Amino acid sequence: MTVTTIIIQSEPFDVARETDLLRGENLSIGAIVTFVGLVRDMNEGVTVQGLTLEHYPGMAEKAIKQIVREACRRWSVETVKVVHRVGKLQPSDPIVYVGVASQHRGDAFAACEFIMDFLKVQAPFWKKEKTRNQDRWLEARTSDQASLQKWLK
Amino acid sequence: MELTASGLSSVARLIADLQSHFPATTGFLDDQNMLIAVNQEIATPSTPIGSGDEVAFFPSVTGG
Repeated sequence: MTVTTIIIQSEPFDVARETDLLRGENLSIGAIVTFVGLVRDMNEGVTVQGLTLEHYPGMAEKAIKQIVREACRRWSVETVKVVHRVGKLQPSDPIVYVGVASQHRGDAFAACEFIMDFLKVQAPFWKKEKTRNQDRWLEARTSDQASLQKWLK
Repeated sequence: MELTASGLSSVARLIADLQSHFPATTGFLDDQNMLIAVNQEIATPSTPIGSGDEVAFFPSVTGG
């Protein structure tokens, strides 16, 4: 039985603390893989001053839960935590944390990448980018859709 | 917004109804990249809907 926690918040998160919590008291855990997504200061050749992240409350949590459930069906994992931020963010701010703890590293590596790949295209979040000249809603990247192909074989 | 559900048997019917009552929505609702959710789960135009259902239309997502 995998312990799953999904949180959407405007506050920053502490990667070290989240990762300690992931391990908890579970001594069967032999591997932890974490992913942290950050705000870049450059996108498509334009300097980015900040991002505003919006989400569809209720559905965002549900969608991530569904993705984590599928990851747990495919791999043997002990604990999963996903933290996604919303609101106004600055370059270098952390946006998303995905932590996966498992008995062996292969499961944690694969599950973490799987969760992140599907979160990018299925979880209802939207980014508005602030540049010097304008604010613009970002378009989905075709490379994100392409990333799913490796899981569909 | 709240709509009267009579005759709105599917998402496709709802889209047609919205487009005829609110022409400004036509372009967005015809966009191939638009996503649909019914009761907060990804849906398609053929998904059945009824009274009390929550239907959302939104552009492709860009989180993470």
